[in-house]
Amino acid sequence: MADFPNSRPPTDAPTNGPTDARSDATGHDEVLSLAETRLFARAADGDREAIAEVWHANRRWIAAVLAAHAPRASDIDDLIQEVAATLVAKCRHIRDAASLRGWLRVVAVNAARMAGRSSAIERRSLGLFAGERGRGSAGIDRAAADEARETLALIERLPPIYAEPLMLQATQGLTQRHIADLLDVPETTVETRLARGRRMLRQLASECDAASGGHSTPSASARTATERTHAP
Amino acid sequence: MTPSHDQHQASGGEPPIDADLLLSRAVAGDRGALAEVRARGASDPSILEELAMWQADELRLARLGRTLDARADRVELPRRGIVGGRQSRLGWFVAAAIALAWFGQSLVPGVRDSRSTAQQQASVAGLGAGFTTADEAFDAYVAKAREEGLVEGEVAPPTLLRSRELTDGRGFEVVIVRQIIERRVSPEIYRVAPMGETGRLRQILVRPRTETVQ
Repeated sequence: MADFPNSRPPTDAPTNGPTDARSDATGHDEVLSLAETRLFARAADGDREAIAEVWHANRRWIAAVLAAHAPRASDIDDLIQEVAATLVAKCRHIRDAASLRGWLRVVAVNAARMAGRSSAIERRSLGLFAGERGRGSAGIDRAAADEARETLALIERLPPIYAEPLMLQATQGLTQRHIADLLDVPETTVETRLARGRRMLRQLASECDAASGGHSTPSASARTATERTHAP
Repeated sequence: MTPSHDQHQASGGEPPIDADLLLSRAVAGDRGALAEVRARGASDPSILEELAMWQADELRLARLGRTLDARADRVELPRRGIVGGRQSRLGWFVAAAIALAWFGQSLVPGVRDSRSTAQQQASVAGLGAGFTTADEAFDAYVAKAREEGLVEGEVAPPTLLRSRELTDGRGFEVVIVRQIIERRVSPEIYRVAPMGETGRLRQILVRPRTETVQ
């Protein structure tokens, strides 16, 4: 698939800045290549291989969107699985290939919001990251799992409109233009939200560090799902 | 930043770039923004310290991204879409799925029978040959027993005892109870009744009434 969104794995030093985003392409047609259009069309026709390819190419940024929107009570693994199942079940109803990514995002956001409304869901999303060390299946060591848990707790305290573009750019390397296409907002709005999101994240991290004497415990003061839902 | 600032940016004006916007561009890899931060740092060293913290946050997010990627990569497409299905509601979902599957089979005559091919039915005569799975053998038993009048039906829906997700990603293990309603003919039966002062239970043989008695 083309360079959206996972052809360039995120590195510790992101290289795609706003300048790149503005200069690498100008039209939506260039984003959605002919090959992608055909692939999406095959997926919409129910081609199993095409659906699998679409999933493989998009599942990482979907996980990032889920992390930005999911309340801490939800299980991100379950939500990813739920989006995958919805893709298989309903992608045939997608008649406009160009809208597939937007549809996937809506599915992910809705899944996260539904998870927030469900009081029956066990609070285990954060625990799962710590639980990785027990499984050892993803090669994630304990320190990384702990840090991921803490960082996720910080992200959960951000309003989703700021958390989502931040996660898409910082974790998936998406350009501002791609994020703007996905969220259906102007690039300038994305840039503003990115700056605000980073500023909020820094303030939250500072507060946590100050509260814990240098050891972050963001989950202790994490906002509830309800608060996030009503965030500006 | 204020809303008015956003509007100003959106309108295409060229005010002095907000510090947050500049830092955000810099940590995202904009070389021009990075140079601007360094230039401002000559007169305001605090902005350099701020940049370092923002970059640390960015690295932290990148590491979170790798963790999320690993989680996403483990999720493969299900064979069939399950809309609304969640592991935490697995018990209800499995029970409902079993019930639906059961009623689907029960309400559509021939669905179950159609699964038994001619070859499979032929093998029933010589039970033990031609079955590749236990399900096939069971279905063959039910089909043959229905023909012979031994089976009246199956209790629906099956009772769900427990379920759990398999750790290797193959799916879910579901433990259910399937009950078959059979009709058998027996020349005699026993009923149990208390006997004597102790009330001890004993079997009492019951024979069918003969034509003479009837």
